[in-house]
Amino acid sequence: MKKTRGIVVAAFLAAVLAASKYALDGLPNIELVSLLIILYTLEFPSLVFPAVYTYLLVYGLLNGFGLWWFPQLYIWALLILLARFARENRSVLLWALLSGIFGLCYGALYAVAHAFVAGPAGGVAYWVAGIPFDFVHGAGNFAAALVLFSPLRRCLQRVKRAALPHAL
Amino acid sequence: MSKQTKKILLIAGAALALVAVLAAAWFALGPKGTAGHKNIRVTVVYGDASTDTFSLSTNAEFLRGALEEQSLIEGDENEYGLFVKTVNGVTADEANQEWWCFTKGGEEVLTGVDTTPIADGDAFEITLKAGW
Repeated sequence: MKKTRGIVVAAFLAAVLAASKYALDGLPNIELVSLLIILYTLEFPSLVFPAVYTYLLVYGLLNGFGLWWFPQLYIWALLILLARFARENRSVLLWALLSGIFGLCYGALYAVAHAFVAGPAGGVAYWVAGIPFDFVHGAGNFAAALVLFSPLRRCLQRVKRAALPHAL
Repeated sequence: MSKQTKKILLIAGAALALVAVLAAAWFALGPKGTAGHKNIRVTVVYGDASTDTFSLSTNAEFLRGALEEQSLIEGDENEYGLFVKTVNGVTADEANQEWWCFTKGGEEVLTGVDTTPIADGDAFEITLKAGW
């Protein structure tokens, strides 16, 4: 029963990631995925990887598994590891700063995979071309975390209490 | 000063340093167009290997401007600018994994049309490819 509940909650968390992604798809590099993944890491440490990779699978199935898709396999894992490393932190401002830094680095992390396909010069060109969008991404992540970190965390804690009481 | 405050200042400093590095990289390595009149040549290679060649006379600094002046390209805006889907009225069929490949003198262009600078005498090829 515990395992079944865990699977259902992971699927729910993946669906929330996908819904948030689609809801903001029209705004370049403004997203809630980073913040949600940080919060999942804090509130659902054992479910965050299944949830994130289910979301990636669904997003790939709906949009195609192009070259743009593969870097996300390691980029989001890095964010989970970063959030795990900083999990003792209680300051919303610090989480917002970390989320902002992650947004600023997103293009560079993406460009690593591009460099394998197009060579180092291609990777650098890709990174540089996206720098204005990294600024938007960093600022968006910072603002989103500053405003939504606490309310979303409370929502997820309610989900955890209702769906996974044994995990408390 | 508390440990927490020190940590926040340290991370904020790192964020500002990162912003400075990105800004420096953009100004040093970012796309730079050149003002003035240019004549460029654009060859469109279709799926059946037939071609059309256009001689463009433009003051645009980047490829997108030169091609749009002649209504040669259309597409969707995305975070990196225009994603070209249609060239000279021919639309790449995504269901068949078709896409338009931009090359300059045979070498792949690593930037999008918005950030590809043009210079007098440049020759670009736009080829319809199949398969991602």
